[in-house]
Amino acid sequence: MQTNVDFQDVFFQHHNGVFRLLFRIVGSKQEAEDLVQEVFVRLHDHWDDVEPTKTKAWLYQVATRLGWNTVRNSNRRKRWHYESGQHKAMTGNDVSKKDLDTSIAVRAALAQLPERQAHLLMLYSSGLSHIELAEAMNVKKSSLSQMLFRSKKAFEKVYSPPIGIK
Amino acid sequence: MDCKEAQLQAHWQSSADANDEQTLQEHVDTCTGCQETLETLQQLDHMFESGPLSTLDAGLEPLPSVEASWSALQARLEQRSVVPTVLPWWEQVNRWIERSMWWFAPAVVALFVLVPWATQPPSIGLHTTQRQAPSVKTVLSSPPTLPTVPKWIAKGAPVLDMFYARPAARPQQHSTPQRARRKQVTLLHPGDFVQFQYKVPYNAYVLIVGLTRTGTLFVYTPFQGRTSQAIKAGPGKLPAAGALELDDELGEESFFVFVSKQKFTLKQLQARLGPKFRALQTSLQRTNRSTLRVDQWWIRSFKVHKQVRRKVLPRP
Repeated sequence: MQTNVDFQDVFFQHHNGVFRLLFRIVGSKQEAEDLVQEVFVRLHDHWDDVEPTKTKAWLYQVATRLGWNTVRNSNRRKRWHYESGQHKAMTGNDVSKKDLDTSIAVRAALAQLPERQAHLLMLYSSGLSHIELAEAMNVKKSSLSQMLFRSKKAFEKVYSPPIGIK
Repeated sequence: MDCKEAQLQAHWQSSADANDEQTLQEHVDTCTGCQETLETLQQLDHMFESGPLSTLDAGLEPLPSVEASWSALQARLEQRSVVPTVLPWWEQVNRWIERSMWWFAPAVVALFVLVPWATQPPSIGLHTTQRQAPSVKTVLSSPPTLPTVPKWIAKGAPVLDMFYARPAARPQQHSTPQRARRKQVTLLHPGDFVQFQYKVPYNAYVLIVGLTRTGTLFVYTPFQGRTSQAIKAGPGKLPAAGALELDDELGEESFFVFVSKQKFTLKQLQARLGPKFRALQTSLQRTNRSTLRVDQWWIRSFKVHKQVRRKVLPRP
């Protein structure tokens, strides 16, 4: 069982990582912030059930699920890349045109993949270790390599970089 | 040696055994297919390192303040655990009226739904008997074969049991029927099949009634009838052919099986038991007896809780 003091530590330790992951999925800062809160509320509720060594994998798994649910709701997945691109254009942040175009193309490619593969690639790009990835995806470590390989291949197949970018 | 992606992947990540590594290397040197796969792996890794995925972070900076987020979370958690303060008496009366009138809207709806429905003649000859108008699914699916009643001994009180089975994705493949346990709430789902079985030592009359948590009475057997159904001495099933398919009303419900030597009506039962229907349930559960005797009736009750089938997610 984890103690109450740890919760704050876990929050401060993983907040940015979870936020980054959620931002990558939903493409909106406001929504990502709301979802981060939701993720940690859930962690608070399940505090006693989560093994301390698996907290990170648990957090990332819940965050990915919540993120995808948000994207999926109201059929947003199809419009996903478009909206997030627009959102960023509106926020007025200093984003280079090249990065913006690439991110739109990446989202478009991910949206075409089966959800589990997109899910895995998101987690993979968030810098989770192979053990953590296997835990978060609920698969054995041995089958993870193959899954990852196939996801990457599938991504490469559907991803077409924007014109002028390699 | 076979060409295996997984082994190649392990090789690529340098996590394969030294022994395997050597065999693999020998194989790769001679196999063009595996050479191509390795090349793909190399390219893919290169692509992911150069990272089109990392461009998803475009617009991420600056990150929101962790402290602010922590305070927001604290506030949210605290808000959930706020204990309600004591309200002034008029507010309490208001709340009480609001709370106790919750049944009003469903009752009105039920009145409109049930009245025209109750006047229709009961459907006869349907393989599956059910309380609501049969849906397409009901007609297509057939009830499970429930266990037959074993040899019986006529002695004293009737034996009354309830069996239930879950329908499977494919027709004709139901779960193994199970017997509802006494003094336990049986968890059922909409669409489950229920059948009652009896052993009576004499020719008798039976009426099976369901009482929902909103206080509505339904007659299950004879379907939508108001008078008890005659049964012969010995073992048998109710309904005799098929089973009841449960509708999708959720929550607690109690089934009562009434058996009597004399013919009786629902009206007589209501006049005798009135508001004590619920008390019956409790007293049956408290006592150690499977059946309770009230006047001319032997009564057996089954408490069920209906809830939507939930998909259980594996724990991370």
